[in-house]
Amino acid sequence: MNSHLKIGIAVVVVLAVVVGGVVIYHENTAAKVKGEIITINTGDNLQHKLTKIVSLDPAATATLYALGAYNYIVGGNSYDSYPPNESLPNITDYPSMDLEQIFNLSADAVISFANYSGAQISQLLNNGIDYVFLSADGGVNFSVIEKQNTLLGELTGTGANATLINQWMNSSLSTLHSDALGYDQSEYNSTPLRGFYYLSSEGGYWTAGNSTFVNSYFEYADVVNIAAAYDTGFYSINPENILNDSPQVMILDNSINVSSLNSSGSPFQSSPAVLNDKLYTTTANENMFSEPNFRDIFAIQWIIYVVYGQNPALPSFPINLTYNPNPNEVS
Amino acid sequence: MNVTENERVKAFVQRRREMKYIWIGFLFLLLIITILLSDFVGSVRIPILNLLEIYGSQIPFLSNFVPHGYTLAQEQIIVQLREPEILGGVVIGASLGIGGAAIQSIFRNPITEPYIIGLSSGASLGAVSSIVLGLTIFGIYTQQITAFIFGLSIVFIVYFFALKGGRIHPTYLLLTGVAVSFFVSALVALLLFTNINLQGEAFFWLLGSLENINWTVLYPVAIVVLITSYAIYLQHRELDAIQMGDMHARSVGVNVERTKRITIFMVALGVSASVSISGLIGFVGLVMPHLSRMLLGGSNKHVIPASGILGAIFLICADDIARGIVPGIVVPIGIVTGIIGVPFLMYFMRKLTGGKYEG
Repeated sequence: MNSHLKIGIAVVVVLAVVVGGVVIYHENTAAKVKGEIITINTGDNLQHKLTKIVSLDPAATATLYALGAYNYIVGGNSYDSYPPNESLPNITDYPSMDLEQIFNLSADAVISFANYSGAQISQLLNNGIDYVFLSADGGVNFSVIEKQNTLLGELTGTGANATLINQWMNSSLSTLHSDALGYDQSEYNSTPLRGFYYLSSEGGYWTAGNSTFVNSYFEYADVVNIAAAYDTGFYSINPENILNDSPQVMILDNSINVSSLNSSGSPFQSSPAVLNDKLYTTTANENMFSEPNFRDIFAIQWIIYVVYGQNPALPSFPINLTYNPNPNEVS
Repeated sequence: MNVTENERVKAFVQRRREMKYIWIGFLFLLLIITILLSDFVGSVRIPILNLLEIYGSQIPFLSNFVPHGYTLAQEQIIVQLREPEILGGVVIGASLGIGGAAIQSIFRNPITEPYIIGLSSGASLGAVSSIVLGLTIFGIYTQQITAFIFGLSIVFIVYFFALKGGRIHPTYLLLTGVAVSFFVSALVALLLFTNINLQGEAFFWLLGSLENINWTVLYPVAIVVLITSYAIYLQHRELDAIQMGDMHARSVGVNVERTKRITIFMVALGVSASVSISGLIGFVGLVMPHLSRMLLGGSNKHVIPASGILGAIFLICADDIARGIVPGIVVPIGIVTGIIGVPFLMYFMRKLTGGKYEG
């Protein structure tokens, strides 16, 4: 046996002992009870209620507040806007979750809508932390929002409030849609009324296509979202399609410079929306166009208000909250 | 040359050899210190006493005598997050450094690195495919496993394309590697183009990061890297000869093709495994072998281990900066290695060699 082979065997033996020891140690220190991945499809399959939640989803933070489970949140995120004056520690969520902060808070669950790496999720589960994933492959609409409310209610023991919120949502949607169908569209010359949501001008004409909650807003407000015909999700639309479909009403994100719509070369320049000044910028209700939750009802109410000049009356919110969930100036 | 002069030369050679071992010992000590200090870097501050207790609790037999004044959260942060990340830095940095030293010897080219034989583009294709196509065949580790398989596969394709009459010519292999890499990179771009919503996720994988490393993925990769690194080290004499040219190597009895085949396979295996869990981390494989040669001369007997140790130290330090520069946010390590590494190399090149280093 030559010396290289002897050394090689010795190295392999030492390695096996060291690695074996380390594996045994880490197997022993790993949490005995693994966390679970929970989605609206799996439902609540936990034996316990969540009481120390890190919410990396501003929409979920708002929902938990409305459910009466805000005291169970131990960590929030920098995008949380409702309830205002949040005093929770901000957990870094981009480009990845800050697991150190999450462990340090002794959280029992993390709620998120973003796609984090499998390795990070596995770290959570191995340390006994549940992962509640609120994204929906088929796109988020009000049916999905309802399921999310139910799930969060069950997970936090506030299921009764979730039922109340869902009933309020369905009743409000029904009211808003029937009212919108009855409003006069004659000032727009031709029907059906064509609308466009301009989300961002960074690197294209970003908008909300089919299978988005923003598209649902248009549907309930009886406005045809021109972007829904061409693609699903949030995407950059071909300007030729904008020119061809020529929107009559535009909902603009706060970041859009209104004067740029009228500039030379803009596909919106000759649209009825620009020519008739039917341009409406989201301001106080900005977050409702990025966060799918129960407050989106107020986004539809606002669209109807600006498009038709009408103010449909909504049923009053069933839960008494310190902070009004309706950010609109209309009530 | 008289006897005294001969003895003086022998003593000089002996002293030089000892100096090289002292350097390697010093670098190893520096690596240990870097590892220990890095355990302090993170978004949560852990007192030194608690850190020492957590260290002690991990040592078999000693753990019963160590006070447990730390919290479960502190133990989880150190044992489950920081330790695998730091040791991942050691494993990946070492594999890139050692792979770089071996590849530069085979190609006799100072600007080559392990990625030149198609590893990076292949691993990118695997990782991006799994992201864009939503593959889940290997569960939550699909991305890592597909990156590994594709990285290795592209190297084999490059190798067999470049094989002519049972021989590999370094220039032909280099050009084939570059050409295939361009082709595969175009496929990666095409995949990203088809789903713009996933560009962010793929983008972060392409920039590299150590923070996704946990014990589950680190164990198998560490074993692969240890075995392949040792196998590469065993070729150090043959690689020294090949550095002088294939003709010279054959004249001193080296089986050139066998050495190249073994070395390329081992580099591909080790670096593919590393890249699969970290994403693409540039600069280490290119520069650490040069830094080793500046410190220890040209023999691969010293350059290979020194490149491994320096690669590990450099990557841990880069990761510390990536974790610590913006509190709570981990900047992709590929950005740090480029921004910090290049001025660092330029400084050392001038400082250590007075501009005379020729690779």
